[in-house]
Amino acid sequence: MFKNERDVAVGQETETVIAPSVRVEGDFVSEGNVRIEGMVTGSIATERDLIVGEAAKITANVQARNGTIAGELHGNLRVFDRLELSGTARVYGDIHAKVLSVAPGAVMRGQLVIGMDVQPMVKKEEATEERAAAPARPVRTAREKKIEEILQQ
Amino acid sequence: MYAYVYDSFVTDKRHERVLSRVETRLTDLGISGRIERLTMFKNIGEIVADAAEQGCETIVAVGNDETIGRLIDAVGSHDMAFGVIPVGDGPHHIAGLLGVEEGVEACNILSRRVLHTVDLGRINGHYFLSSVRIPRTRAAISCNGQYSVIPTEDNEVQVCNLAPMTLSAEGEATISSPRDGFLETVFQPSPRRGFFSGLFRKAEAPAAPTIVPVRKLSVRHTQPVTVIRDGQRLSSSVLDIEILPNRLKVITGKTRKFE
Repeated sequence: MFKNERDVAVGQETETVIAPSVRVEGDFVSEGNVRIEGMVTGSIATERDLIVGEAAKITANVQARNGTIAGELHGNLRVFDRLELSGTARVYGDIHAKVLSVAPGAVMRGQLVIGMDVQPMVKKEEATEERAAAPARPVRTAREKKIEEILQQ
Repeated sequence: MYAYVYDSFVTDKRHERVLSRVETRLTDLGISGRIERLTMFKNIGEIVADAAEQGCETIVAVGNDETIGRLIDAVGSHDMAFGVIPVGDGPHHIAGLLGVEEGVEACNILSRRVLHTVDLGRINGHYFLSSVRIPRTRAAISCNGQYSVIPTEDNEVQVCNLAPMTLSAEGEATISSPRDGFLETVFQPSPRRGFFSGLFRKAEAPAAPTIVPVRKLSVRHTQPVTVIRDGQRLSSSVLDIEILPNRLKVITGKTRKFE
């Protein structure tokens, strides 16, 4: 089947690739490197590096260790280490990154937080759960407030 | 104790000489065992269950990829080591990936008994070792219950456990790892077919594939589609595919194509 040993790549880690012939919808989670050349809607999270190609169109909140963006991104971007925006990059959303490099021609529209440790994004459901778990602040009625005022006098 | 499952075509006169040499070598190495020949009226599941009941620790497919596919489906639910002796016209792609050479050399590999625990795939309750190939489709494929991959044009989808995924420009094949706990799902855009394109255009280079490692995926078609699972056909409109990590012990040769 394989004429010689050089014809086969053994034990290489598989990189996730989203080509232009598909569209991805939903919460995309990966443990490895991700390269996007197509369309993604929802959210993207990877523990490794993210490369967004020139033709890519992303409408999602994105989280990665390192990032290289050359395409269009609508959403917030959190990069824990190094983020590179090439000249064709168009980012419409807030950017959090430890190190940022921007090539001439890149378009950015949003808040920039650079040089600080980046915290992972909290999902909506988690945030709701945290709020539910927190002890409720006592709510005083108008009657109770009046009683307090009288007692203070 | 070893059990050898011969595919029906192996008993053809053309393979008599090879088979005789293989059997002699197995006896010399002291690993001969029970022999079962597949026929139209024999149920492979019962053969494997009988062998397991009688204490067979190793079951060996004697034949080609299709033989392996049929046997894997039955062995997947038993705790037995799995070996291969490639005999016949092929294809012998799976044996090649396991590093098992054809004929007598396969007996030596069996005797060395280098075991690797690998993942198994399962589609609609049927096990597979190598891959599942879904023909031209535009159906959305739900991955891990978290996101969907929707082809925007006709794509051939190959769900790989131990199979070549892509070819580089230099002709180097990338093999999916059967020990990573993932099924590498490759979406390859189908080449556009047209009367004039065939006549006047030069052969186009294949478009870049999408590769997504997943643990579980499901596809829903409106009509039944025929997919190829380790060389065997399976028809269904609903395809539920998942990975079962560290499920099968396989005997491998030095030239196996995974780590």
